[in-house]
Amino acid sequence: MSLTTARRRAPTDWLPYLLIGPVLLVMVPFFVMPLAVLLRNSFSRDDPRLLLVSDRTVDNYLRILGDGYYANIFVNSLGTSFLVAGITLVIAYPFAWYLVQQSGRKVSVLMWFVYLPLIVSVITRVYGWMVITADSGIINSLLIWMGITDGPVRILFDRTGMTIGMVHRYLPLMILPLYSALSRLDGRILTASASLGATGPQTFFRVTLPLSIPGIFVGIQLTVAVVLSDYVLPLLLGTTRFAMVAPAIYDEAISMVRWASAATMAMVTIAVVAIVIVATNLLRRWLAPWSRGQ
Amino acid sequence: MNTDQSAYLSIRNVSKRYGDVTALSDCSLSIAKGELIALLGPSGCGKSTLLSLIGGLQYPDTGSIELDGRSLVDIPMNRRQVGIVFQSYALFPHMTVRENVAYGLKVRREHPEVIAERSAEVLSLLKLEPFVDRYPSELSGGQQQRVAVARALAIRPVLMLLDEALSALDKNLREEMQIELALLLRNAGITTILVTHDQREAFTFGDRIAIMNHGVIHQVGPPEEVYRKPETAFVLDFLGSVTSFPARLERRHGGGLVAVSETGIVCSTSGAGNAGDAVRIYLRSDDISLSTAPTAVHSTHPGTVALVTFLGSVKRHVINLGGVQVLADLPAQPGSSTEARHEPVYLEFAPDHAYVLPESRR
Repeated sequence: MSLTTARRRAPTDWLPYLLIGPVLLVMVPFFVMPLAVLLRNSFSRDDPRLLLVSDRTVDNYLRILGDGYYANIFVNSLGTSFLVAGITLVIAYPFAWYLVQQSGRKVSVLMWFVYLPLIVSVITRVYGWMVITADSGIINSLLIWMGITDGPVRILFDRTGMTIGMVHRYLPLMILPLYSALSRLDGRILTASASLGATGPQTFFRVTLPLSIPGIFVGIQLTVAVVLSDYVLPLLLGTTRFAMVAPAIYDEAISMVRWASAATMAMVTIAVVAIVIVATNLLRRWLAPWSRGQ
Repeated sequence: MNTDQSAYLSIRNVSKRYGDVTALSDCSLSIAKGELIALLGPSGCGKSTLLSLIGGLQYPDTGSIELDGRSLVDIPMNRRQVGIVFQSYALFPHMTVRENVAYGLKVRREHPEVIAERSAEVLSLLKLEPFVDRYPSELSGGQQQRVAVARALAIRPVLMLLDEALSALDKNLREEMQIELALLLRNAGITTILVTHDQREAFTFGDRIAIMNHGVIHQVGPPEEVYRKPETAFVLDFLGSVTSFPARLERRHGGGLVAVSETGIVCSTSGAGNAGDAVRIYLRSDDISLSTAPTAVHSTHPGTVALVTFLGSVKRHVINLGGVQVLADLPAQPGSSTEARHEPVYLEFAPDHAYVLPESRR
């Protein structure tokens, strides 16, 4: 073969671009670019008459991080995130453990119940919860009828109602990683534990639970991230007296028309999620040093 | 053996079914204290089921298992103090070697000093000191195997169960570990049951071998005894390479019974039977020798060489003897002559190395 022969291109040269191309076509214009715009806006200035004035100032950040009103929003959101993650963990763990013990057919049926809420629109479910949690709803009627309370207990349009809704909405996000982690657990390890003299609870706390730490952390990270950015549930089930980040950003941008400020809140939210994920990863690595690379 | 009063572990008439499948049927086995027993058989023969009944992973449907006179059946697994080494090792991936080994002592709430002392003892016994702070994922297969053994030894087991514990290792390491483990357990005087499908492993390891098939224990005895005096066709067939010939019993002058095959092989038999009974004559490949001319010493039978293969220490000859392909393994010394294909040869075997057993209904 002569040296002047043109180099034949191996299919591997262009194949990667072909494979990730469609994703880039969606992600660059509809995710990366808006994010860049937000980042630029967060360093701009809000002006009552000119709306957004181009600038390179960190005033927005200083104001949002220093002002109690904004700090409160982030504290509310983070607190709710971890509360919801904690409650879903406690509910999901026994269920996932039960699921792992079952045979193929039963798992498929139970899994279908896990996925079902994801198929039904969240708006549809919200109106269902309203019927149940309203002042004149089923729960309050029952409480009053049983004589436990005189008047209705505030559930809907309050933190309680919002939290209940979020727990239900995001339960699958906790069940799935837990199920995946627990189903990878080798049953013979549990047998070995018993043969070495461990009781059932000892095996659970010394073997099963530590080995599910990676799954627990994935579940917590997913739940925290989605609760922090939830807009619909705080709006429809919550209260403005307990402000959450996503509706607050919407108010800032649409009602108050302070785009720079809203952009800054969005950037801070992203940073908070990133910090939570890095911190929980460090915690996981400390709690489960054996899980490196998992 | 079953009525042996000195039995340490005694298994009597144990049966176990899974639905329609009989995993174990009426198995009895007595094991003396400090004895090393190998349960040998093909996969699905029930050897692992028997082990799991002894270990407490499952309960027998009928029969009794007694250790030192106490029934084991009602004792939950975590109070049996039986050390189990699994084929997959089943090490705790989230614990270091040291923590794995100390686990059994920790859950028994032993004093920290006792834990440290006994862990150090077994870690040194299995030469694991350099790896104490590693996780199982950072160890080789052989090292993981050592950890599994150390972990089981640390609880000072009254009985040790090895479930295909060496099968996952490479051949050389496996043979090394067979010897090392056999020596270690013998020195420690720990009564051990090893489950394996590998004849060499069973013979290397066991003081006695129990050969199983289809949920039945066929024969129990020292390696040489089960090899030389097989009691059933299965045992004969499973240990070594065997060729069998259909034959019938005939009464010879003097009243003795002989087995005569269709190919003309004649064997005396000491077993019971009547003239005309269908039997089989079995010949082990390493009991046969070949010669180019008939000799008067042993029974000789003419055949032709169909194939010769080199297997390392032996050369395997496939001899066509009246339509039956007979396997004959001869020592493969360098420079030894090899019978060429299609050559006529004479098959020789000592009369006491031919086995006559009733035609089995396998």
